[in-house]
Amino acid sequence: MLTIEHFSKTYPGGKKAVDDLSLTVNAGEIMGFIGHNGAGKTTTLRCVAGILDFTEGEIAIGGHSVKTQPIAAKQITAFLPDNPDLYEFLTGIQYLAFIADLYGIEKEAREARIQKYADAFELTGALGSAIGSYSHGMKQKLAVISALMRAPKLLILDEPFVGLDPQAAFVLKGFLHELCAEGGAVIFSTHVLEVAEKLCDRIAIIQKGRLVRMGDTASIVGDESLEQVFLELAREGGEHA
Amino acid sequence: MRKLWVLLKLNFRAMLRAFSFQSGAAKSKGKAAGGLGALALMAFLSLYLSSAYSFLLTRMLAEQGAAELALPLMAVLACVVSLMFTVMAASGLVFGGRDNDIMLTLPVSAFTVVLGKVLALYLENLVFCGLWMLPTGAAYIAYAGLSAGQAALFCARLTAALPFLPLLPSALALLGGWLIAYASGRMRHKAAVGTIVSMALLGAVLVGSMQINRTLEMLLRDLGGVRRVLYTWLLPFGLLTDALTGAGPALGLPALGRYILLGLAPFLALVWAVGTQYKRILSRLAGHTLRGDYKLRGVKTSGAFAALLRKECRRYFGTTIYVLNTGFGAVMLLGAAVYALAARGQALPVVETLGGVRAVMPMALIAICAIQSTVNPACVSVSMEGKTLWLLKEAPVPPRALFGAKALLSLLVSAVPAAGCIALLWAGYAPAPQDALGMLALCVCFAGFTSVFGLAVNLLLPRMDCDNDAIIVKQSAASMVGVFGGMLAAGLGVPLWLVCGDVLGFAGFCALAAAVLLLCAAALWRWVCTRGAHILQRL
Repeated sequence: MLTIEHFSKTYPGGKKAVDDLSLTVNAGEIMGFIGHNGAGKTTTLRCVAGILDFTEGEIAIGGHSVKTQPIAAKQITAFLPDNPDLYEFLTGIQYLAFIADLYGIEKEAREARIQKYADAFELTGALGSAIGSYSHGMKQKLAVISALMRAPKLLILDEPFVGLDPQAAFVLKGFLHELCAEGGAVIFSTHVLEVAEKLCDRIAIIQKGRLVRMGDTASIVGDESLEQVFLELAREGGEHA
Repeated sequence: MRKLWVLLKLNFRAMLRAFSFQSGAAKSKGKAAGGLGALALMAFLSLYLSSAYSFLLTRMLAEQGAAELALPLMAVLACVVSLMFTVMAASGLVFGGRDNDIMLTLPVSAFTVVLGKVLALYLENLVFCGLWMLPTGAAYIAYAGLSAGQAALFCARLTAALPFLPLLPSALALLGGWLIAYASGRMRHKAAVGTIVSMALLGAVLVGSMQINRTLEMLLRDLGGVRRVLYTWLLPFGLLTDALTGAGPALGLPALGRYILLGLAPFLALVWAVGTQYKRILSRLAGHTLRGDYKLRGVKTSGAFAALLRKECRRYFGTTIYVLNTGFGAVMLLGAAVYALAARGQALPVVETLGGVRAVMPMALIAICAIQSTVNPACVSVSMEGKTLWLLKEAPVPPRALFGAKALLSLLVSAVPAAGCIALLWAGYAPAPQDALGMLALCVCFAGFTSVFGLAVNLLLPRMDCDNDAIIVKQSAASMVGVFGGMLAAGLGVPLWLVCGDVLGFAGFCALAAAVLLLCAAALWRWVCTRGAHILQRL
């Protein structure tokens, strides 16, 4: 579903945030993308979502190049940033209708999906209020609903569990599995290694912009915990530097 | 005091950054020079306008032996214009800042926070008042026949008095901003109420400033009466006159002291009063009503472009400062047309002396286009996206649609009032149908051109990191270049009319100018959809 080949991203000023990254996320798969702060996770995810420009490498979603066929790629993608800034002058339902209009979701489908996800996240009653009045967690839930509502083929999540209460986090995990069961794929970044270990089919670890380990969760973790693996890699990275 | 200094530096830096042509980390010498150029342009315009008024007025007054009255009159003008510039900024900067949460958590008194913000406005006013009063001082020295010694003394007094002149407009701006925030905080539809109250305030200031001609007539007819006014409800300006021109051993020092006191005391009192209520006002403004009883019913559907346009409309009409700074011209257009229609009986003889309706139409056209230049939401529409830009970049819609929605809103808020204005003028003054239609076509094309031009300017000069909408719409480089660029385009109509007006006639001129504008708009639109799309991607 997602193919990244020899992708590099250099910011103005010369800082190379990501260096020659290649990975794939297959349909029906949840991939965890982990690394230190500043390792290049968010940069990669934002480039995949078509928010950031890049010059080196190739990123394709469902066979559509993000560079040359951005509209087709975005049509089957949903991105949830770590701290979603939404239009505070809209109400929740206006925002969802806006997103549904942009993605061309049919009337019946959008009503059913909004009902399903808003009820699951217990946000239906607040949908008539301005987003400006929402708490951080409510905004996060609304952003999650707007992402799931699109029934994306690829769901990109940047620290999705930050700000969510345990109930909402549990509901979200369920929907991620449901999306994968329906042929979708999920890639998400997180610092919560226990969540990554339990939720992900595969894991990619990025350090200083370079992919240092990727594979099935079981093979990466082995007899240790993901936390131990991550810390060992970090130590090795520090020694090599 | 140290904390106040830190806050003042922060607020003033935020205002200065808005003038900058650079955004974020990207730096270029050309853009830095462009930012300085924008500031230089503002300074030049202030100096030019003040020079024109000052020398004309002082000469007329000097002929009647009252050259000193030019000083208070120009000071009143400086204060009125300063107030017009900063009343909305006060509402946005003091009460609508996105940094309010941080400010209220600082171990600093609310008085210091408010003072820090208002002093930033004061510094802006000081620069303007300084530039404004400089030519007035020069005109006074020239026409009052001062000796070198007297001129030096006058300059010293002016230098001492000038820092206290902007206190009055700064205090009034704070009061106006407070009223706007207070009114909008108590109403359900805050943005609409804020817009209406602000429009009323601005209208009052505008009507007041339009009485300048009447004041000038009164001044020349009854100089004694003017002096009485200066020592009653315009007392600070009377004291300023005494402070600048006083003779005798005290050399106007007591008047200077009282003038300073009259400026400083209400200023500090008002800042203190606002400081005591600051948290309450901000809490009320921030206190949105969160209801939990929404029932999901039918959700409407529309196309992507309609959704984008609707979002732009909600953003525009839901943000008071945005409407006021980029839409007040539309109200002015309609207001002026209604006035022209109501005062048709008095205006028609004047129009006849100028050569009839046909002869006046080119002037009316330039005036309408010049006002239309100020109605350009597109020139800040990209900057206004701020941190929500990711939503548009992530959406599966081509940049052409994003830009189209922004340009269309801008075109509508500019062209519709212009069309209304022309229709009212048509009803009142009955120009030839082809002339009125030509004027209409040209104004619509001009609206289209300025919209696309504004969008291009904002893509070149974006400010995505401002903490305050007021700074984006009032002081960003894009807003200035967008408005002044439109005015320049309107001004270019004058030489074009002089060159080919007689040959083509008014309707023909309108058709030619409209065609030129359409071509320019098409070329700019092409640029926006190609290079502009790449710029958007990099933002």
